Amino acid sequence: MFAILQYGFMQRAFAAGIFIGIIAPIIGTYLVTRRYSLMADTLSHIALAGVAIGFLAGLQPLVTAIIVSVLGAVGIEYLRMRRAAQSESLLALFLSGSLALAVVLMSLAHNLNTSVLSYLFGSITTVSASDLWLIGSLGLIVLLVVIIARRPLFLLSLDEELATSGGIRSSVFNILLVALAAITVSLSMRIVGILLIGALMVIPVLTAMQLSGSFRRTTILAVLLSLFSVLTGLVLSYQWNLPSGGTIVLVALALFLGSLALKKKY
Amino acid sequence: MSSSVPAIEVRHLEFRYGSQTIFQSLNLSVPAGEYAGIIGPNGSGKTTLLKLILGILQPTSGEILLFGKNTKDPTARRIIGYVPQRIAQSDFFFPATVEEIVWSGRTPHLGMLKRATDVDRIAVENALTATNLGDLRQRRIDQLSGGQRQRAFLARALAGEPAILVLDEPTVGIDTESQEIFYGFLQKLNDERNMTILFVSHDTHALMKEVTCMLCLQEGSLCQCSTEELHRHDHVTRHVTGALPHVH
Repeated sequence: MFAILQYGFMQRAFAAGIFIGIIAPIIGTYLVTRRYSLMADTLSHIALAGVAIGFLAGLQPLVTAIIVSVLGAVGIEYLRMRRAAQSESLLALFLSGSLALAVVLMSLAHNLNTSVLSYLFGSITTVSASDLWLIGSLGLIVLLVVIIARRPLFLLSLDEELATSGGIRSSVFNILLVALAAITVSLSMRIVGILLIGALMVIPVLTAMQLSGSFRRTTILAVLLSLFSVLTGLVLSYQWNLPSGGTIVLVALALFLGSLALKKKY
Repeated sequence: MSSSVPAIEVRHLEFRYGSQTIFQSLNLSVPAGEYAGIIGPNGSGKTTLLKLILGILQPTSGEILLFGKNTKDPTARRIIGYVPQRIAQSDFFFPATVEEIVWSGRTPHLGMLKRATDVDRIAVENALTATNLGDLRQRRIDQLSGGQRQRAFLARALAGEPAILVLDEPTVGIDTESQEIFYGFLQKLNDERNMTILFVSHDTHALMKEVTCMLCLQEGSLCQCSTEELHRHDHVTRHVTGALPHVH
């Protein structure tokens, strides 16, 4: 176990994994309870378009992914508030639209296949030192903002109309939540991969919801389960040369199935 | 709150949804301490009026005042305790305890950065006690019966120490016994705390037994009368519930 930590790339992968393992389920708890689970998947596809823009423009893909996914998240929320369409229809629209944009942009750039695959499925060897700095600093900011805004975010997850009637500016906190989700998705794509980040934000939360009796315990347990999934997934992916994202999500899924069995038993 | 100022005052309210005009020059005044019911047939605008008062919808023109303060100002709405309709539905799923739900009623007072004090703790305890939920405080909200859940959301509203309590069809999907208990809690709040209550319901007859004043909505217009008047002119009640053709 400790032998694998002698490699620099594994140290960076573990450090990034710990940050992501903490923030992804915290944001996920608010998305799931708000019945917005598909938001993470949609944002990850928007982030892919951001990655493609980064490659084409010669910029750092992680940075362009963050910018594009935050803009996309704000756009979705703006249209939802304007009642342009139903929430799930808007998510489908942005998901397919951004995927189409990403495919077209990637076809314009040549020799991208290997790089793009690592973004799609996650790769433990690709976390650079600059990526780690960005993941660490933005991850801490996301965590701090959620801790500060936890009360209005809880109320918003419980019922948006309750929040508004209590004088909470729901539109501001809705946009804040999706923007934080967009940043989290973008930060997580190096480790978990764009196609699987939604699962890491949702599955540990669903598992924790099976076993916990309160919102607080659900959030804490979701973080612990997510950290376990990420760290175990990273070790297994190193030892058996598997894609890190898929391995992490399969561990999270196994824990979810275990929670169902446990709940049935007790 | 000064009792000379109406608890709820709606002045020349106009509300359009797309090209459809829902309300045009609607006026109403609910004095402080009143227990008012809003009745009307489906589509008459009961919930829309409630959402306008709660600040969830914004008027096209006109103004809504709560104890003299315009609801456009979010801080004016902090004196409202709201019990929504959705919470009694069987598919309600939320991983929080009763206590966490009741504490969320303090959010308008605590905001983001204030630390909870004894004042907040006492308000939460009082709300749990007033609704007989002390023993259920650690139970998960989505594992309670519809009636218990409804009481938990009433406790949440009370934890905010509201001057006005607004309820949107809170008895839908609740058994008769739980409804009776719930009505009892509201009557007590109105009697003992002089709390202004605004209750939307399609169940006119149940509501008439409880409220002191009735607001009858039909096709965007409103008539306001005491329950004595309603009892004297029962045809009005039947008219607003859709049982009779239009009364001129």
